[in-house]
Amino acid sequence: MAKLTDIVIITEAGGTETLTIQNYAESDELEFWGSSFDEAIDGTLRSNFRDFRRRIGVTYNLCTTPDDYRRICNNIATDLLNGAEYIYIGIDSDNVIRVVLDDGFASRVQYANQHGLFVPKINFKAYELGLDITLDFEDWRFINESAVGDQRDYRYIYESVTNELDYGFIV
Amino acid sequence: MGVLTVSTGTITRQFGTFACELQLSSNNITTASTTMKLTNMPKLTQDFEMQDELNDLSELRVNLSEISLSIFDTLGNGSTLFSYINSMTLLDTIQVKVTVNSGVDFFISKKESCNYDWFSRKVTFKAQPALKYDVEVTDYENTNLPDYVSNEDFVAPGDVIKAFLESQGSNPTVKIKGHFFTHDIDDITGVPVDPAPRYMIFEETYVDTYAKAQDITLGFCLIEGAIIGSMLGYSFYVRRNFAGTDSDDFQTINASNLKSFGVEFNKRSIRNFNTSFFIQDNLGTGTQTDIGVNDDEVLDSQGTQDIDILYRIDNMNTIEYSSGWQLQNGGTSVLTTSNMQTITDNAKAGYKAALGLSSSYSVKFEIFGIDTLKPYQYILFGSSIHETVNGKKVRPSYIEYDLENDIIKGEGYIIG
Repeated sequence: MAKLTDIVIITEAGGTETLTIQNYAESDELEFWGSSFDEAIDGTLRSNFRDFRRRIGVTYNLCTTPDDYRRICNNIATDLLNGAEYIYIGIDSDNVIRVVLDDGFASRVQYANQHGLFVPKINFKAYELGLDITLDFEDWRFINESAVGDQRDYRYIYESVTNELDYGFIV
Repeated sequence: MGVLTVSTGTITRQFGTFACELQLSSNNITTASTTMKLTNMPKLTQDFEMQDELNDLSELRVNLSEISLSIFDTLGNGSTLFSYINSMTLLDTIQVKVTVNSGVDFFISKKESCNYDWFSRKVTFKAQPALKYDVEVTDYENTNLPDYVSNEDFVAPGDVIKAFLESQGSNPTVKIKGHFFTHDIDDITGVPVDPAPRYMIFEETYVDTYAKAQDITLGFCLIEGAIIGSMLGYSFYVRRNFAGTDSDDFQTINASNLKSFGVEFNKRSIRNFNTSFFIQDNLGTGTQTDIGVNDDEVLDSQGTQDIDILYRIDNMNTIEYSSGWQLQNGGTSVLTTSNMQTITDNAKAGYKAALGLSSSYSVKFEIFGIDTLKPYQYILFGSSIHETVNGKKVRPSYIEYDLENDIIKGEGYIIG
């Protein structure tokens, strides 16, 4: 298993495409029937909790594949403008969920220390309600790819493999 | 004629389940079925308030329930709802079937009631029960009436109302509350205990069509001061000032049930409140007797408006038992002037309450949960809300079932 760098996006217009990203974040937020609660005149509350809804954010500190990014954005737009109710996103083609575009889309060009950076961001919101955690991920910050299965839990890393840690560690 | 059937399927909401189905009938439409999505949940409303025409309170009308729908234009088959509606003629009908939990209501709309908004991509329209549109109601037949023996084609007035209410919607739960005549088929088909009572009935020939039943039911509404409606699977006829104590007659509302409430003070400047309510008894061939009361009342000699309500229900009969139930020929009606005075007093009490003449204020309220209060029930306010309403009985004059927010909004008047 590799580090999570590629995201699969499936559209009618473009089929299954891979987008190379730097950051991927999921969050499950609360959905309410209108407001989070209603207050009766005696001060008691009626909870209006409905369900959970997933939001996904894909961001780059520096996008190195702008052509892929542009093409995939166009395919998403084509689908949604043509009446599609959703597109698919996931870490691989076996683990995708239905999403629509959410607020917060940005394609920003900035210069830092005279170097130009293309810094895009796409936010998605799950088309359907409910918790359905499909992403089987591990914390790769402290584990290198050669670690065996029982060594991957960073709480039980053996000393013999600590020199293989690939992040924040200087040999 | 083609029929396009468009449905939402069953939607689970805060209050339970909801489903909506449209049937667009037109020669310009090809029969097909598809799906639709609502932009939000509809509101079911009914305004029971007395409506005056041209500021003349003597011209009353009976209001009907109404539903407001908002639907995304794009349907499941890729076509747009608006294009279908646009192809209909002004005479074509849109039937709306709404299922809230297990209660089913039917409404009718027409092209003229539809709006399309390009920016929000949605079609909105309002629909009302078939009564408004003179749409033929095909399920009111003699079989709707109680199963009378062939040589005793007598129908109790309550059974006429019941048969009419049963024709609204699909197997509605019928509620008749506060109607003066309480006898029914069981009383006039069996052998009575001696001495046999007499009853007021209709001969079946006067109630054998939907239109006749409608006239009679609305007539009773008028002379009894009753409201009539069809909502949430209930079809009901309730006298305005009816304050029964059966648990189905009312709903106790406490502070924890109320999202909000408020009070408004009303003042109507009524000078004379006159009623003439009569019921005709066909006593014997060619002999028609009107039993009723002219009740004139001066409410405020300085008032600026008068109320004069005049109505007579025709073609009732007294029946008696003599080796079988039969029409009474001659003699006096079983209906007395005292009976009509009771009917009149109740009606006037209901009208006065509804018009704010018997109480100086009306109540506005928002209640949590659409299943908290049935449309035919009155509210009995609990003891810890506010001194103005604690322990008061309030009959809704307007009620709105807001399915989106699972809240009942309404206004009402004090009946006790």
